[in-house]
Amino acid sequence: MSEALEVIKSEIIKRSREEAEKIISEAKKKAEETINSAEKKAEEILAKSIKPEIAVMRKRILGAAQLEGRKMILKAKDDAISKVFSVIEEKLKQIASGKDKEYKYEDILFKFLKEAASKIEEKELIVTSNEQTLAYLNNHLKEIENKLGNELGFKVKLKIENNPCNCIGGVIVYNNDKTKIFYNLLEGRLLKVKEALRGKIAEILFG
Amino acid sequence: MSLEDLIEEERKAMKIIEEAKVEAEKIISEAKKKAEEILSKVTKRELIESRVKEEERKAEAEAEKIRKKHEAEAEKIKLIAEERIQKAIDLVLMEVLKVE
Repeated sequence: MSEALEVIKSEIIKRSREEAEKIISEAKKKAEETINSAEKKAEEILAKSIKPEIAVMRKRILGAAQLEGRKMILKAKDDAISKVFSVIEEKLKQIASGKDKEYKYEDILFKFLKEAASKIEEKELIVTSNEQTLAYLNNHLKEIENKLGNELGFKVKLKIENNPCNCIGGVIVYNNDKTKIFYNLLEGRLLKVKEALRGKIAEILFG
Repeated sequence: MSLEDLIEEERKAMKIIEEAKVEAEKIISEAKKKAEEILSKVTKRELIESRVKEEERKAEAEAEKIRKKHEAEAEKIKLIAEERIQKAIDLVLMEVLKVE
């Protein structure tokens, strides 16, 4: 009898301890859930309240970085294109001064003169250019007039202006009353080409 | 061992459970208090500011990556092959000197 009671006694204590552990364990679980839920809710409240502020801040910071980056790339491209044009300008100077043997400036000059004369369509034309070009034109005036006459099909009298302009080369041609002026200077043509071919050049360089 | 002993044991058992219940209530009550604290903190300016700062740091890091990417692209542009430059020069020269 005593032994049986001892077993019951220890069973009572064992079960009560198990029950107590279960109560504590459930309480801990519930506490954890309460805190987790509060943290989640807090996170949601916080996110909602600062969301617009963060969006504006991100837009400002990332937008500035994008803009800065794009500027950097544009500058690099612009520098590369400028480099190309500065090489070309130098090359044109070499051509106009006769130092570039690949091109014959006299032929180029004649083509420019002929183009201007054909557009103006007058028998008397005044020509101006830089000092060196004007000197060449003065020295070969008759020869050029004859060649122009032959190629255009009408006689052209050229008058060389004694007031040289500061330019690389090419010509400015106009009629007597200056109602028709044709600019055929190398830098003017270069500028025109620069504008017209910017996209194509960019494609060649960076495409 | 008598029946009284068993009753005494039963009392002890009930006490253990009661104490556990008290402890459990304490645990839950503390958790509720902590939850309230968490929720009350969320509207405080310091927390908002610290979170905004944290997000700002993240955005700055992203911005740095963007800058580095563009920087690398710009450096690549600077190293254009000589043949491309020559091709562009030839094209422009041809157009400048061409008379139609």
